[in-house]
Amino acid sequence: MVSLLLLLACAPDPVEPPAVVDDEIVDRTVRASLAMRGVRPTVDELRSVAADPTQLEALVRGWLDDPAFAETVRDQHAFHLGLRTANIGKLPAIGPLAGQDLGAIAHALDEAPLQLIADVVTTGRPYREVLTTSDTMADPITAAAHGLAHEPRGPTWQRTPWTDGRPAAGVLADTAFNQRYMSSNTNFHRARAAAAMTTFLCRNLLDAASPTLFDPAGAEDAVREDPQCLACHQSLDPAASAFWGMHPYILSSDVIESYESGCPDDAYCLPLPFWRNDEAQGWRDHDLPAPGWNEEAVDGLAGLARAWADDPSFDRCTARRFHAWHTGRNVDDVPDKIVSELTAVLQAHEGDVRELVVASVLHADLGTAPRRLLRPEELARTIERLTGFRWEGDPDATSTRDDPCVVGCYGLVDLARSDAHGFRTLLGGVDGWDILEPAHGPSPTHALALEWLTDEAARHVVSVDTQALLPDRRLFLHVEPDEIATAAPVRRQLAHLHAAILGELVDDDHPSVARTEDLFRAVEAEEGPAAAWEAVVSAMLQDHRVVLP
Amino acid sequence: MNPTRRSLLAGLGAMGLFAPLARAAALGPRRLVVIHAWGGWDNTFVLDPKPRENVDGPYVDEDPDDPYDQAAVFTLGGIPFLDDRKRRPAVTTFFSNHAHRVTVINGLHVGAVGHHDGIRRILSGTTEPGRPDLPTLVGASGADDGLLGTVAFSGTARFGPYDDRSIRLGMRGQLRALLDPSVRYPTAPDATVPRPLAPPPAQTRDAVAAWLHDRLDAAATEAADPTSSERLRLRDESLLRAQRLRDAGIASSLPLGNRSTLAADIPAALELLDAGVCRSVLLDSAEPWDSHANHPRQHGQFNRLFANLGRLTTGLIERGMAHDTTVVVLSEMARSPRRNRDDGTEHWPTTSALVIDPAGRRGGRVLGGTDDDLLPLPIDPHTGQVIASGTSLGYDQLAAGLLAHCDVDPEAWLPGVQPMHAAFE
Repeated sequence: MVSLLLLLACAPDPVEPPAVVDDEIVDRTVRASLAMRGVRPTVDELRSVAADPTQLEALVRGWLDDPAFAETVRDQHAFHLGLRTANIGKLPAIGPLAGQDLGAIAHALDEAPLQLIADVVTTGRPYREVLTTSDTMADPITAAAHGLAHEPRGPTWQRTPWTDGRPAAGVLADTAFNQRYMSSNTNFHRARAAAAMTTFLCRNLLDAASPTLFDPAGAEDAVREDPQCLACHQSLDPAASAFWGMHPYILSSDVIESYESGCPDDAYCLPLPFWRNDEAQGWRDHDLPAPGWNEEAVDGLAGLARAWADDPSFDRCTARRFHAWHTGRNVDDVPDKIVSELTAVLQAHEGDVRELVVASVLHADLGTAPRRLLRPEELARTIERLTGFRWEGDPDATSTRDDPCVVGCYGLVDLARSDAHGFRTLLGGVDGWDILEPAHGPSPTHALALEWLTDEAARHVVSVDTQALLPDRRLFLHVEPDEIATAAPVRRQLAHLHAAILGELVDDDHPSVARTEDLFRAVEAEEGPAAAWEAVVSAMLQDHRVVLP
Repeated sequence: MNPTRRSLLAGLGAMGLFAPLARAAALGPRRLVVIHAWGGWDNTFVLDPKPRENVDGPYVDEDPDDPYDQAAVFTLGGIPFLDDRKRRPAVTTFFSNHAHRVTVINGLHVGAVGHHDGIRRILSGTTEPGRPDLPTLVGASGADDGLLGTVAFSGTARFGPYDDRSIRLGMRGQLRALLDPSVRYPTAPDATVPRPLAPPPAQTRDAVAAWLHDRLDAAATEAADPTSSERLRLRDESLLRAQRLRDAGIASSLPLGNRSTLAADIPAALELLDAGVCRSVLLDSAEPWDSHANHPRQHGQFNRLFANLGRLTTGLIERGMAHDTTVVVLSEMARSPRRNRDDGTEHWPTTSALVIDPAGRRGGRVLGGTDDDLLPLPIDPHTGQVIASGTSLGYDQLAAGLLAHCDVDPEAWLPGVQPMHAAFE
């Protein structure tokens, strides 16, 4: 344990805030950081912007290299594409996946298309590649599941081409996307086409049309003849025809049964036979229109993907979606004027989304948008960045477990990001299946889960900072958390926590610091300094400036 | 948030006085239980019998050599239904015991053949995204006294603007882990923080809560826009209701683990309603009704569903909640009249619903109807009876009627919709 004197001697010289801090620029910096990374700026970053607001753009550009930016891109697209569901399109731990945790398998399968999108975005390649590339991303699990190349000595996720001859159509050709949007004998891939159109062209046919069907026995006639139906099906059906060749769906039970029967021909053993080239013309057998877009024929799914990427609405939709994510709005609620401004930026930079993101988070609209509920993924990332704490649990180790490891154990769960075992939806998030609209406000379960998370995070950071020397400490720079301190260092530490956690650049004698000192002293008197610091950190992590920035 | 009210409510919770307060308050307004049959049931199996010439229904599954495996229309307590005592005996048992409490509604036109669109319509009465569902609206209208409004056992719940008074149970009953640290998943062996972490003493928790509320109050006065102000208010309310939920001592009655059956959820739903924790619940039948293949599984599903309806109805009666509780069973669609090549069926936009009055004041009747080809017949909106000069019954009309029945102004949520009162009178 280092002494307080040594601690004070080693404390870094902070960047002093200006005499009068511009709260607006500080808040904008916090919002920009949360929007593009899901983490808060450091104290030094806030102070540098407070001292010179023109530094914000440089900060934002620097954040593009933060791995949290790629994570945020994946979070955003998981939301828009309805991926990361708990129970759709998963695989058992069988065949080449034997021994893998079920949770890891489920995570990897849905993560592959998201990794592809993040790779396109973070490397500055044209965003259209998310629809047109012939590649996917593979980790050891998806490589085994889909029969893809993977270099064991390379990074976990590696860009690699599909090996089964499927069309070059980016995420449209991805197995996880097509498993999520199952097809049926009468759906004819329309759900897939509709979901992709909603995401990439911002054309939500279901919300726009909602025709009142009275006689679905004649539905297939109606979609060709009824003006109410034609409005959408003229666009939808040719696009849906392009998806022929993708399997309607393969259930986990299908895979298990296939292995139990010895993997005969046409069985669903791994690698998963999801692309079937001989079915690519299947639309002909059902009197469906040929693949096409805007009344022009396209060459299968790859042709559709190129046509969509060339469609003027693609760039506008991209701009709309990113800004909607950054501001916490619904996609349809982003003002057209802003969409036009951001679209121009995207096009001026040949589809490099990084420039779009910079323009979006620097836009004045971000600063004036209403407070939004921090998404569960952002909350987990924020708290981990501040405290080093990962909120995890092991369902296989609990005595109340009622899912014995029949075909594999689940593995360690990220509690903020899981629906099957965690609290994502109880924290206001979506589940990609039933819950497609995030909560716009906090709920009682949000409060309870947040308290659990922050209590453990506070205990963690107080514990590790007590054991660590100054350069390695996360939050405690001015006191020993487990020792009683005099008023001055306590107030200095509290002011630092106000800056680091709440984004408030305040002096030691600021009234808000005094109010927090009241909290600290009240707990310290009963339980001692370590518990008091835990209470302060936990309270701050639950503060509205954290959860409703 | 009025600090005086906050202090009062927090104090009541701390003194353990919340539960009786909740129970007393819940005796006033009507309770609502909605059971959602996700995926689209085949209503011709039980509720809307059709000639075997017109639909495949359950008929094609019969064993011609088994005299007990025959589907036939049977009427009990004024309700004609399709009876098959071998495959669906619980259906017959249910109507034997409860037909006088049941209103069957046929020819309910949802008008959608997509699940999510249909669910939005049938559960919320509207096509508009972001709108709360019926249990949420009913629950929220009675929750101004500080109680929760609704508890969603089903993932399909939509809370709209009522996040502060509506909660989800979670796929595996995660709500219980929020209230009972002893059932939380263990951490990894090398974790810094042991679990369960001993909760902070009450005075520490109170001090933290006071700090949070003080800062929320200050922020609310400075909120730059109404939306931000409203979200800060929701946070304030949620903190209070969370505390109250913790103090209510209901954790042990909540399900935990893989919630794979409706039977497992019914006892908890009854307990929550009885304890006054909420005024409404949304349950899921937990059956895979979307039978594009293997349609015969719906026999067993209907059998289990009606067995559970019997448990629920009996439970409401035994707990003395029969007179102020309404049960509604809904499915977002039905199934096409003919089987496909996978022995399954496709989506059908006209369905049925069940309304149960556990007190037996209303029941023994069928409202609405369909023709032999399962197309909706026009009804008199005032009586619910089929008449040639009427109009078909829309999902929004049933929703508006249910809201009115539960003392929620339907015009505020479904403007211009003529409520179908007959199902609830």
